[in-house]
Amino acid sequence: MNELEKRIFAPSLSFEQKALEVYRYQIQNNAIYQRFCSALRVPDTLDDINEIPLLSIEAFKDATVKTGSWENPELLFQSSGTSGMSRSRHYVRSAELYRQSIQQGFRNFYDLDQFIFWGYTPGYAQNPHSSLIWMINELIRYDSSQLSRFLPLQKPLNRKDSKEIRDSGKQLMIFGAAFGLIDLVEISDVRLPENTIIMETGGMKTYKREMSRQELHQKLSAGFGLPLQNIHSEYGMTELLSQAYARGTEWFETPPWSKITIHDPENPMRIQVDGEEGLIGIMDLANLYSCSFLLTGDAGVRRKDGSFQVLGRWKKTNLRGCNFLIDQD
Amino acid sequence: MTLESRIELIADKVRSWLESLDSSLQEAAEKTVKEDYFNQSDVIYAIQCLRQSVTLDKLKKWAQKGKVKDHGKNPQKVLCLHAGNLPLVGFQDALAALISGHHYFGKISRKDPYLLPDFLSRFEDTPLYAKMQWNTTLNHFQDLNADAVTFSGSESSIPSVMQAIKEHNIAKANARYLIRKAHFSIAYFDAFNDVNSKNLVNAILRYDGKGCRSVAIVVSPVTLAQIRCSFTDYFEAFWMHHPTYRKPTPKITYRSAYDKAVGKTHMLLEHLIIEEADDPKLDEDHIIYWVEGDVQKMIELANKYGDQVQNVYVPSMSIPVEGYEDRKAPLSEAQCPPIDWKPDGMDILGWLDELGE
Repeated sequence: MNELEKRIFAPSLSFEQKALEVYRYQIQNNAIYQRFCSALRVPDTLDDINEIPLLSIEAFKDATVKTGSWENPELLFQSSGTSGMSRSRHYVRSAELYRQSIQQGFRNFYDLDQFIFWGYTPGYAQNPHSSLIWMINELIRYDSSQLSRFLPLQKPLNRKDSKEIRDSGKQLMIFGAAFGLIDLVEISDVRLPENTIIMETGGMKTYKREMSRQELHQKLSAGFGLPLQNIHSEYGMTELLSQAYARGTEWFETPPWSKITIHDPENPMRIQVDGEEGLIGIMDLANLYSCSFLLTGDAGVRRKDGSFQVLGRWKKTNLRGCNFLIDQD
Repeated sequence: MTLESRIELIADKVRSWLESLDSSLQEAAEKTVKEDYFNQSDVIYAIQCLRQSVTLDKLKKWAQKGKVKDHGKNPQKVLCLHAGNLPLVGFQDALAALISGHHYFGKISRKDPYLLPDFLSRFEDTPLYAKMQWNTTLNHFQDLNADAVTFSGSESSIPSVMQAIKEHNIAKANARYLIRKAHFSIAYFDAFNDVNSKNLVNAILRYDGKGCRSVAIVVSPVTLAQIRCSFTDYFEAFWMHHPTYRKPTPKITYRSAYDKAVGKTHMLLEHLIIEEADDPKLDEDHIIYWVEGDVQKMIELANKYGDQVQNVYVPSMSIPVEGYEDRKAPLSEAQCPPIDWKPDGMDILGWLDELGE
């Protein structure tokens, strides 16, 4: 990693220092972000990170978001979607930068060396453009016990595997999307070690069914026979190279090089006060070579300590058309 | 009173209401503008449209078309919850209730409190043999036990409306409901010319684009980039004649900056934005999407949005729009519909006619 990349993870520098430095770097080297800031009349140099404009995450669908004049990305991540749908495309210049963000981010919340990872998701070979699967694959590769792996889909967990985990003296973490994990619960009849952590990675809404995160966690807890506090969540997306984790609560925490702000949907430049709902904005400094300052379409709420809840997609009201509203009409 | 004599009486009242210059209508219109409910241009436009569309002949044809019967002897209680997004938006429902001979109860919008009540007050001393009441509060209709309720609403607003009706015992348990959900329209713009452009601009900008007949998606073989400059003149001309005092909101400023950043062709129109799109998401009310394509593309989009679509407009009615014959309308009539137009494909007069059977 070069000096600037290393500085992103340097604990000796404050988030504010690093964010302002990355802002200057990106406004000078990212044509899209430069045009965006210029149209909003935001100067190239700022003293306050709260004045940094957040680019809509849709930009990853509408354009190639790149900082610097590099070619040949080491990785390309694409969001999932059916044919005809436009997909986000995240060109990643440095795989090592993403690897460091995954490992150091994970270490920030868990003891990386202590874990065996199972991924109940399609394998890396079938999904080379999924940032989530790349991340799980990296965690699997990191574990030297040979017990970490992608689980075959639609096959129940077996007792032998569970015994191996117990014998290894390590702790198991199972990654999976919401409904994938529910399916796994339904087909399996095995007692997992009681310190196992289930890491759901979102997807509470599919074309077939929808449930709240709370309801999902309760189902997973009951189904796997694990305490509710062992059901954790990961918040990440194709457009980001850092992840937030919620460890047995509904509140997500970010690693030190990432920060969440909540924005007024009617004025995306305005940051809501803590406790007020709005659009989730993310500063992810690991996105050094794309764009670190992004506004999502997710609804959320933040606490004073910086932790946040994800409340699903922001629901827009239809103001156009005759719409009888009790409190207005 | 027979149906025919009722229609004659109503037509006469409408005509005298709309035509007398020293009337209370003028006062109601002035108050509406002065108190900033709507701008003057939109209020005048709405009144002028009614002048064109509500005549004795047209009312008779409307009733004949639906083979409407006289309900004066067995009137039902009809509650109309009028929205207030446009001036006089509830006029058609109220008029239909009066023609049908049913009892009319109108929850008047607090956002349009003068115009419709002024019209209704014309009937206060008229022997229609049906009850008429109107008020701006819903509580006023406590224990009404209405037989039928009409309103327009989005999916998200419907539960709260139903809850309020239940809480105040406003409607019978078996009351019939006419709920209309469409909230935008699609226009096909086949060629850039003076007439088409004026009509399209009116269809987009009139009433600040807030009507369900307002155009939110334009489908055209001409790209926005090709006509953006020429089109600007038409927008400016519209505003010159119909000034609006709306400034770009922070959301619009943000969106425009975004479009510039990603190189998306767009036009910033004060408080609205027209944006070129392949696959419009339609999740923002301030964006009008310009999609390159033919009539088939318009049909595809109308199919995609289903009952959210109020009308599909065409510059000429000779253009076929397969599957949308009922919702096809001339672009020139986008904001000035005939009195017998069918919101959400439903003829209100026909619907009221079935009550009590």
